Amino acid sequence: MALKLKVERLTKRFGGLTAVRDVSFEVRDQEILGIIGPNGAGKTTLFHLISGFERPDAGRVFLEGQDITGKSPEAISRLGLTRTFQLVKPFGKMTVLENVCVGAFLRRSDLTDARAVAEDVVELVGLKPFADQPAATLPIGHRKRLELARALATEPKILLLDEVMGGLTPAEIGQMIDTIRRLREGGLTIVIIEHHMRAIMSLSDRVVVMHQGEKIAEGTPKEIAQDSRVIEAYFGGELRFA
Amino acid sequence: MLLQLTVSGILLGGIYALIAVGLTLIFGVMRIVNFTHGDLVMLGMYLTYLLYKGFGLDPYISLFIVPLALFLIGVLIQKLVVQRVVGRPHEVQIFATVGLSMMLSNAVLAYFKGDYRSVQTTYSTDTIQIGPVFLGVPQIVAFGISAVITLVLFLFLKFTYTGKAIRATTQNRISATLMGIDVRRVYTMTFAIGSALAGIAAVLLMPLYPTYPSIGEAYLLIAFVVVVLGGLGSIPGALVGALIIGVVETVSAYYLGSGWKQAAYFVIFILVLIMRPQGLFGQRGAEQL
Amino acid sequence: MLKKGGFVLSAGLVVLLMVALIYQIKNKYYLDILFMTFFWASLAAAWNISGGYAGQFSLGHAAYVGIGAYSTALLYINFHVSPWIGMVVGGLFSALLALFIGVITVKVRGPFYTLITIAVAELLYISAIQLKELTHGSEGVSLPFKPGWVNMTFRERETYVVLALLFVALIYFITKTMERRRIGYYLIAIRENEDAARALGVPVKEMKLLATVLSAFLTAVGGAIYAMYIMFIEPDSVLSFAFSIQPALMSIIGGLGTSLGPLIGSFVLSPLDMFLRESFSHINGLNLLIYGFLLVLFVLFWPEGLWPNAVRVYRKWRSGGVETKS
Ligand SMILES: Nc1ncnc2c1ncn2[C@@H]1O[C@H](COP(=O)(O)OP(=O)(O)OP(=O)(O)O)[C@@H](O)[C@H]1O
Ligand SMILES: [Mg+2]
Repeated sequence: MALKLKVERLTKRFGGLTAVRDVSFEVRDQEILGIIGPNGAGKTTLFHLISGFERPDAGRVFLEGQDITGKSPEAISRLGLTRTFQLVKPFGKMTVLENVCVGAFLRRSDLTDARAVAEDVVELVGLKPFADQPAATLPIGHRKRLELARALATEPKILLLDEVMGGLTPAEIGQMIDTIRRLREGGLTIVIIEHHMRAIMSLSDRVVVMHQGEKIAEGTPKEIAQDSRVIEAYFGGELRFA
Repeated sequence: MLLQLTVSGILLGGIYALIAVGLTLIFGVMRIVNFTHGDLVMLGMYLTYLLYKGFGLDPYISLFIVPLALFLIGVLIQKLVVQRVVGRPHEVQIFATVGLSMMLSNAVLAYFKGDYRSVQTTYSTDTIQIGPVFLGVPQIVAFGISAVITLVLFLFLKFTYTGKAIRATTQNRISATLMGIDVRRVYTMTFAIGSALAGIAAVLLMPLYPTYPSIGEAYLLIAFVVVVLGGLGSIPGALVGALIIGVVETVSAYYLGSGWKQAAYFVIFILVLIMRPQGLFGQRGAEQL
Repeated sequence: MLKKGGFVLSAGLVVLLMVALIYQIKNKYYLDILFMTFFWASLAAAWNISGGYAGQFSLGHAAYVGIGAYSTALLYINFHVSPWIGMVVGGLFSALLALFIGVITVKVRGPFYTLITIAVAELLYISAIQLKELTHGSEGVSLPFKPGWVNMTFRERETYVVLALLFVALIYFITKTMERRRIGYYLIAIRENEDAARALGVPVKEMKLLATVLSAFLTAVGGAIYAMYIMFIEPDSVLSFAFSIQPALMSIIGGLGTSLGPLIGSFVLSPLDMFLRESFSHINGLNLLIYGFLLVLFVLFWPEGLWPNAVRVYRKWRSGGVETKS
């Protein structure tokens, strides 16, 4: 099936502020869609709307053709869409492995099975040396990986990543890019919010640009880099890609 | 009869308002649900009793002493316990203040034993008649003083620097800090003022009702009912809520018997929290902290 | 870590050993202390399932103790229903009440949940006093002394102590089993971060309900055992605030959300409680004054409780005094 996720004219208002206005886009199977935009553009709010943490004032979300608008986050996760949080939310007192087990339990009811999945995932994101450490003791870079690991352990069809590279060192970013590529090769569809330009431009098949709650552009990284509106609104005319 | 009950209920509600306003103020500023609030009233009542027994002081003279003492006790509690739990997880806030409440009520129990203590003044049972309604003199005085104090509090919050700082902190702790407000001092002032208000209420209650060590629990629950009804953090809400609860109490005590009267406001409390958790005047979401 | 079979075996051995020890004790007073210690441990461990694991800070568990005690006693004296059955009926009533509270408080968090549970327990207390035809009001209900297993009434105090011990062991076993299963992971995840748990597909409402209902059921069974032990119940004895606060206190001091914490809390506090009551019987409330003090002290400075800290010290000691990473 070609279409994994379809977002149709989503709008969300907080009091007088419209955080997301009339945003539509589609994500195809095994695609990596990048979402960029300045601080406060509404990217995280968009993820909240898709993943069920906030209810949109208007618009609809379809996952593999099924309308999931207004469903609870847990139901949406069960259907195969899992998101990570920009502000990491580790289960502090649980170990790294136990954290990941919580995700794995979504599709495995037995502890032995869940652990097996969790161990694989922990290895994949490079947290194996820290597996038995309480999550609260991890430095920020590792916590971001833990966010990713937990989400992966739910064995999603589509993964929403909210700034998983924030606070990482350049070397760590390189690893993270590799990991995400491998995940896509393994069959995952990924939507990724990222401020780190090089990462997003090299990873994404297509990019959606948001500004003040609206989608102002959409296209391949190349097209986006040359779009005058994007340059104008987002980069203030001083665009330089490495 | 209903008129009589309503008017006495409103008079009673005036005193409840003082207790509830303190509680809601503390919540609004510090985001802490203060489980010791009822015990502050209890302490105030015992102080009033002691002053009466020891020095023959009329409760209305204690009005100049007890609230001051409670203010200081409030400062102490704030510095020793409450300050340490601001911003910490719920269980820490709940159980620190619950523990403190146990300490206060049981310290009093250990010292005074469980007996009822009351202050018998010459005017305790005086009544006056207005139209068809009979009203107790202490009730009227209590309501009058409560109204004046509430007005003073309102002016204080509106016009003094400290009052403005308290309101600013209620609105937004972070921007208050950015504006150069000493948030810690605001916390201390708020807690102390809330305690002093409980002290005033205690003095006003003393000619009317006896006190005993665990009475704090009853007042705590009343204050919570009021605050939840009015909307957490909302002072006008607390005032309206207090009057409503006062009336509910007198009416239900009359029709259901005094044994059931508490049940009436627990039911109201539960219903309000379920159906309109933000209260009559509160902001949505406050109950989720 | 022990394998599962090994765990069951060693726990069983410990229980057997304790039973043997109990029958060595002839002193009635010590047996009383022991019964109360196990009884409080069971209430604390039951409270811990909802309060510790699911983060539902109830201060109204007295309601469940009361329902368990009253259901058992009233069914027994009015209809000659065996306390063993009455106990289960009480448990089911409590579970229903917990379900009701759980459903109405779905959107309410933190202190407000606590307040609602207090209010419900108060309502029950008032009702128990007022509904005199049903409960005999504050006069209380006396249970007849007719020894026999069917009546859960025994000549020897030892038997009650063993009963309480087995009940604690059962709850401990349930908790321990939960910890190794999805439900245990889910409950802790919810307590640590509800949003993150939901994002991972954890059905938060259902899990909380399950924990609260289980906790209420077990608490009511504890109340039933207590009623059969003291053979007299009144609102002030089985619906008092103490039954709400002490299990919470013991869990916190022992270690919230750990399987052993509540038991340790009770082993420390129950004897202390009995000692204080005995030695300072002329000072009312001294025990609760000290409890309050301990509660404040622990939540302010040692919120993890005794057990997790003991584990840490032990690990440190084993690794030769060097702070380990875990
Ligand atoms: N719950 C909320 N209530 C009120 N306003 C909100 C809420 N959540 C977000 N906002 C506002 O909506 C706007 C969009 O926020 P959002 O977090 O979606 O931006 P973002 O694009 O993710 O920014 P960043 O790059 O900094 O993460 C911001 O102005 C924010 O202040
Ligand atoms: Mg964001």
